[in-house]
Amino acid sequence: MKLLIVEDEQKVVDYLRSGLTELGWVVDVAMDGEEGAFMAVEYDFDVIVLDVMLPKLDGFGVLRKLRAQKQTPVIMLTARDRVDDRVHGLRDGADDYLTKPFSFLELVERLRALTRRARTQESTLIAIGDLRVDLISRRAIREGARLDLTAKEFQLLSVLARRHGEILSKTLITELVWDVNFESDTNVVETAIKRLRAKLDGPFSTKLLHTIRGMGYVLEVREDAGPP
Amino acid sequence: MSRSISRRLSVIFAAVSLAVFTLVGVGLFAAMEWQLNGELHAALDTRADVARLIISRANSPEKWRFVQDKLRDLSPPGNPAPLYVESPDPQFRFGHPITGTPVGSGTGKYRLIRPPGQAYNMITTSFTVPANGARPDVRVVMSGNCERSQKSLRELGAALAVLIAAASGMVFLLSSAVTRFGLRPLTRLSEEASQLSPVNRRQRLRTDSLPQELHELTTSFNGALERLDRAYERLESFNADVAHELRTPVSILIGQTEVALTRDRSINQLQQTLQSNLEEFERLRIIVNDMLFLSRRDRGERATGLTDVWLAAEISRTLEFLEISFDEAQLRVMLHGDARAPVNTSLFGRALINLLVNAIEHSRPGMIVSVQVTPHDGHVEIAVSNPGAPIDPAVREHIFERFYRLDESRCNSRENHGLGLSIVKAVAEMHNGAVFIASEAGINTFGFSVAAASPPGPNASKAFKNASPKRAGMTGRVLP
Repeated sequence: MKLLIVEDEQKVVDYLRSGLTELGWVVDVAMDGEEGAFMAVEYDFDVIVLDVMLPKLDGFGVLRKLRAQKQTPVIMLTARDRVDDRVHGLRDGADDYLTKPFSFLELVERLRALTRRARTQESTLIAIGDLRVDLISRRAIREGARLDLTAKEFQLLSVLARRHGEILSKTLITELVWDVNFESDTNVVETAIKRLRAKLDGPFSTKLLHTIRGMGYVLEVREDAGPP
Repeated sequence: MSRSISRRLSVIFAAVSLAVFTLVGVGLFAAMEWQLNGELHAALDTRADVARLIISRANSPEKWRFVQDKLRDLSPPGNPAPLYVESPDPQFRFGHPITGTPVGSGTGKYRLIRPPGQAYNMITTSFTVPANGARPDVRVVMSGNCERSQKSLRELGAALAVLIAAASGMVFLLSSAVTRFGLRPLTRLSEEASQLSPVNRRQRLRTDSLPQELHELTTSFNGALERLDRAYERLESFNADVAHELRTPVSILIGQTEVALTRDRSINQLQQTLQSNLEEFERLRIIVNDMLFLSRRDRGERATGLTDVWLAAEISRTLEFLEISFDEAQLRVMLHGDARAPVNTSLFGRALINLLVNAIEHSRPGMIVSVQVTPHDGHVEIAVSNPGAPIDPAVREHIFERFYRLDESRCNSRENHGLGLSIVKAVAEMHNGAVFIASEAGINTFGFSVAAASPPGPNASKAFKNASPKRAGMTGRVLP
């Protein structure tokens, strides 16, 4: 997957490039609007990350030049949380937007959605270590014994299992499990994870559900079981 | 100074007095003219009577000669008021025809004419003297000169015009002085107002020595100053609060990063520092986003993407999300009522969650939190109640303000940054609603309203009834 970042802030470029490269993206960078418009039109990318505030030519200008020629998916980064900015961007042909400050995980999530990259796991029976999650019969089994989960706990587990090995942010979990798509100042996800963990990992020596402090949660088999 | 009040008043005064003076002048002139004409008519009539008497006695050409003498006496040559007697018999004639251009249509038996080459009019009257003896009927034309009366009238007119113009001019000059004097309090007021500055925000305009008309203006102006002052004050303390709120995470970030870098640390330790940093950054991000959200409301932004929904369904979705929180706090929650309203479901949920989290934080295990939806005329109220200690009215007034905390000791709460209830307020305002708070009989109620699509009519109440089963299902829905 080839990706173009049009962004003039060096630090942002650096972390995006290294983070996305590690996730397997092939990353090209343009540091101003004119270069960005040139590259976006001349070369083929699967998706473009476009900042609004750019030297020489702003993000909207780049977008117009691109849309005159191509339909490459574009995700806009805007510093101003203004509705008209968004409308402006989306009407001019942006496919999505993110308001700064944004989380890296969220950007990755949006990029995946835009490129419609197939989920690594679309099977209805998921195996992670000795855990088996059956999405059809809605059962989770570990070491042959069925876990006694509530409906919500199973839903949380299936969300984590479908994307096992992937860090899921609290925001994303809230959206996928509870269909709540706004920020909230609650510890609902932490508590739900705590309860799920008690049933999922509590009785077993191999821990599968891991907390990535400050980022989110991941369901995976780890060889060297570090601190949870 | 085209819009100067005193200039405008002077012009108006001058115009009004010009009109009044002109009216008086025209009246005077007309009265004078009437009087002078009356005198002219009387003099003419007297002479006509004499002439009639003289002529009526003449019954022969001999006697007509005497008549001619007497008539000549009545109008000697050079007399500007000639007399003409017309008769079919040339023996009984006298004088010359009186000719001239008629002026106006005349009044009664009098006619006005302007003789050729003359500057003044003549007034004429004619009558017939019946035949007597050898003398046939004769027609007598009598004329009088208007020179004197016309001259007087012209002089009077000129004098009146000059007087009127002079008086109006005087009124104009005097009135500008008078209005300047009358408007002096206004000048003083504006001087005082020009000295107001943000440096001395407590300063107000003095109302004691002002006339009644300006009193109201000044009082309302002072009221506006007062409100501005309060807003300014809030803004100042708000800035301080924001700075304070940001200072804590920033100082943690600086401190722990410095500590981490002073020695060689294991990867594990460094990871922990980074993770802790991330948590602080997340906190900063939430504060920044909430502040931006509130500033959008401050700029008057309205909620967009409204969908017409049954609120109980929206609320139960939120309650489902918070089920774990209620469970952990050992609280039960009940939902009553339902209504339809157009809301932005994200914003609505956000406001509701903030109210519910607030209720959870202020409740003790075993209590029941109740959510009540009440449709009113034009709006729908959503109230969240929980048993709790009474809230001081002074506190209630400020509780929806930014960074206001009910309990100062909770200042260091890691989860709560003090913007929750002000976000509820912003969401309510974005939906043309308002927030409210009540504290009575040991129950504290926090709530907000949103505008309903249209006033509830008969159809709405029917729909409301239809929703009852669902509502009943929700009522008493108690989480263990």
